[in-house]
Amino acid sequence: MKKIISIFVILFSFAFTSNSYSKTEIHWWYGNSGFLGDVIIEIANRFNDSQDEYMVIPTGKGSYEDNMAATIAAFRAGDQPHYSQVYDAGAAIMVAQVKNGVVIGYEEMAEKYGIEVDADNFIPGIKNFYADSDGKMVGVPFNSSTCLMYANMDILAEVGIEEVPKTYEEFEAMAQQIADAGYIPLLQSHSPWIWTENFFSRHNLLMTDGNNGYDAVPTKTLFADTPEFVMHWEKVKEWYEKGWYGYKGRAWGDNQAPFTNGEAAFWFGSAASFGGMKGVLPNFTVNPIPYWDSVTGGKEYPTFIGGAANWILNGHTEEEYRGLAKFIEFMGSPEMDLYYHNMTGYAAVTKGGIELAETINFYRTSPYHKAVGDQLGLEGSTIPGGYRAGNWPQIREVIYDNVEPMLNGEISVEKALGNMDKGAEKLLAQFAKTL
Amino acid sequence: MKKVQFKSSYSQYFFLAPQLLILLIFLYWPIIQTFRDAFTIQDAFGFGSYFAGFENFKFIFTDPSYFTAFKFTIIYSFVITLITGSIGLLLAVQANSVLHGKNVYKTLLIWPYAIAPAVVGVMANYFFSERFGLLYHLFNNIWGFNWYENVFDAYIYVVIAGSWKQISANFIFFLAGLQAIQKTVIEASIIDCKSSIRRFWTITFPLLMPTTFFLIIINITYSFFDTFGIIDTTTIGAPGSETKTLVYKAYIDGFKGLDLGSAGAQSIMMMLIVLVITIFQFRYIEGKIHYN
Amino acid sequence: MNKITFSFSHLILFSGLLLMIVPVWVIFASSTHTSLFINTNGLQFILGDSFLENYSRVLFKTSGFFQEITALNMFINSFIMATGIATLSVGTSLMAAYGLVYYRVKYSSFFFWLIFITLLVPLELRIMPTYEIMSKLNLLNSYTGLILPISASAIATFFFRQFYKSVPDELLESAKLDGANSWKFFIDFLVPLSKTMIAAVFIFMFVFGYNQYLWPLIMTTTEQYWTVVMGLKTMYGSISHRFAFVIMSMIPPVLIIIFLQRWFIQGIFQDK
Repeated sequence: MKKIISIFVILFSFAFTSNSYSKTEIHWWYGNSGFLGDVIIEIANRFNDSQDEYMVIPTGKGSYEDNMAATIAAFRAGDQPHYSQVYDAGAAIMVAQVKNGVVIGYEEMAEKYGIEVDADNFIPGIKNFYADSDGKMVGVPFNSSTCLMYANMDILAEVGIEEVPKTYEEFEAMAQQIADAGYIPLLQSHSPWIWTENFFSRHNLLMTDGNNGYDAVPTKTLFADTPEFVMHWEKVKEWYEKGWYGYKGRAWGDNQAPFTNGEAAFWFGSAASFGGMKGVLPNFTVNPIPYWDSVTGGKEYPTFIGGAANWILNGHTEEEYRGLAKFIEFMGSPEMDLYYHNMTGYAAVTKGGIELAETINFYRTSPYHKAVGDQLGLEGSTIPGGYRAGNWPQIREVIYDNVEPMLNGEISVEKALGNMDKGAEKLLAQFAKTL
Repeated sequence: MKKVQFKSSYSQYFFLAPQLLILLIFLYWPIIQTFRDAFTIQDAFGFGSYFAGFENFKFIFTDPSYFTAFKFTIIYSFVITLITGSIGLLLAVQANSVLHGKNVYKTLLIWPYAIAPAVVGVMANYFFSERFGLLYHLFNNIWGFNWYENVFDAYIYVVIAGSWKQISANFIFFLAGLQAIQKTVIEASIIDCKSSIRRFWTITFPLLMPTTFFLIIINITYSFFDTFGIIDTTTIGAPGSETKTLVYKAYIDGFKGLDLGSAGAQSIMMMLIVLVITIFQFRYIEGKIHYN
Repeated sequence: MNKITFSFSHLILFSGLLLMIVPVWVIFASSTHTSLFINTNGLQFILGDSFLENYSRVLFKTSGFFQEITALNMFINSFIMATGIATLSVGTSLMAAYGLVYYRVKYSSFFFWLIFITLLVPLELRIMPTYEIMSKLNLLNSYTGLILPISASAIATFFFRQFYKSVPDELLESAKLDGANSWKFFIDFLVPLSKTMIAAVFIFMFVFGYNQYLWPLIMTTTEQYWTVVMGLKTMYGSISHRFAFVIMSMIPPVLIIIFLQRWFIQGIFQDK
């Protein structure tokens, strides 16, 4: 009897060992941290649990910049991951790397390895930010946010304001009341992204030459040359002096904190900020970013997406790319898309996801989630759905460097914008040399 | 100079080898790379690279924020050296002269030296934040302190954060220097000169010159490089680029801006600056020190 | 006259003490309250009652994909890194300084400059290429990778060299009379004599290594190898937890300095 049992045990263990061949590993490096990082881990876990052939291993690198540097160094060492999360400001760099064989576009990978993918699944406005000039998908949209206005409804009620401003003109009309009541009327957390890049987008204005880089490599930015932009910052400076706009330094969190603490009426942040605010601030709403009525004549234009996309890196096997394609498909399924949208506040990036949301009437119970899709889905803009300019992270630094002296009056608005243009021009020229 | 002891080269190589090996691979090789980067233009991934002569240097010399960083670094190291040196000296002199509690004072004044600059920065962050900052409110009430926009206030912020723990380091070395001065010298000087203050400046301080000289180098090195952790956790270079040290700017441009050429050129410039300062120290200052 | 200068000294010293202790005390005291309390009442000077709760939470809360990294792990990593750096530095410098001081050979001058020029080039000036080289060598996520670039430093050599130069020549002469060769002299005579100096330099390099910021920040790209520094950067949210982490991160080097200060100070004396 014992013998029979032991034979069975041996046979059984053979059965198990022959089944537990090592799964094909797919490495995904990302830059989000904290709660957002946890969601990424959850997505990978769900995929891994749903099938047996592939295993996605996500590794957090701490921040977008750290992930970018790590990815680059890994590439130089021949050790790069399959999939890497690179932010909006790095899009130009990544797209330029296709011709160098570093990055392989999503659609190109599909063609090369005969894998079926559904590029149409993704919402055009979002897809185009990470596509090449022919509209072929290169980066795969992932966490797509945009800038939105958060409003503290309690403060507004206290001051007697009923409606959240849709235009900056409306904001100006109510700012003094709010200030008089002892609150900060307005804060925002990212001068380059919110009040430069998305100023241009929101008002349907071009930001660089070369059609924002989609038609030709940009050589200069149009900051000082755009009178509307100059006007905007003159106004912001005025608001700063009047105490209508509070500037708390460069850190995102420092500018958000007064709003989360109930000291400010309006704050411009990201769609993804929603998650962290939910439990903290009792009565707030999420609204579109205002615009200048005098500039657009009442028309609302879509803003650019922020956040990041995932990029496929070259140098791996066909089997691994098949697995990656499956993973991308999994992430792009309506259920996962909606899951991510719901958990984080980032936009739903697939048509299926939005349809599912509407089918289950998702927005009835989570109205705030609608704001990001609404603002990104606006139609009628004549400028491209993004910008393709190299060295953009450094250009953002130049913008930061000039905002502060501009606000406290050290240099005039024209000079500041002129400085930004000059700095950007140099950096764009540097980037062009490497193409 | 030691009497000649051993003559065998092979034997010498044996002793030198471990350190030289590590230095060659992990210091010299990267430095050669830095030089290569400084004279090359390349994209973030290393493609499109070509030899560019002095272009990267031209690039940084026409960049206003480079000079801002240069100015700040010089001012910063000067101020920190002055503050930490004088307070450290003051505390050391007093600790040396008290009869009771010397060891208690010594122990309790030494430990900040062991705290990491980054940790100091994080702590300073809270003392200077608008929300919690005890120091922020104190200074704000006195003159409207606001480091988010005022360059001068930002300077004060990073100077205080940067000096705090370095005072402890200066204290340690000055105390050691004071205690090394022989008692006979002290006793003789008491006979010659009744005033303790004059005694200090005419006799003791000159004898401390080697220590002072050593500490100036330590303080400058600290302000140039070790304060990275402080800047990164406090002002992050703001407002404008006004509180970026040279090394911080090189890091931002290289690591976040992914411009290795610019970062390399900046590193080379820093090496030159440190070299010049060191030569200056040795030639002009050490010459004036009286060794007994 | 004496009485006045006496109390003057104590006054100054006491102010110095306060300057050093008060900031840390405030952070510590605040770390013993709940975050809610701090958010409403600001920084505290008095102790609260959440000490155990906060500190154990910080030490043992896990995060990361493999749910393995905790603050405790980070402290352990820092400790391992610092010990490695100190050991390697002391070992190689002890020998290198000996090679420089006790030999007069053709290329001695060359080696001297080769080693000491490196004092001009701290890690921060070669950080990007170092990162790439370590990446190529596949040392990025490892203790070795954390330790080696930081150990590439001549500081310790500088200290040992000063010390050796102050050792009387008679020692070597008597060793030679005993028939000792270079290695024997080094091991049996010089090293035992240098014990205090070794301890002092070890402590110095340990603190130096433990407090490294930029290099661990850049090169620890997987969570397992995160040092205390990454914890500082990623620990957001709860304020009291952040304070607790800050306090705990200070403890190892500070304790070492306080309890081993005798060795440390003696070593510095000899260096002078």
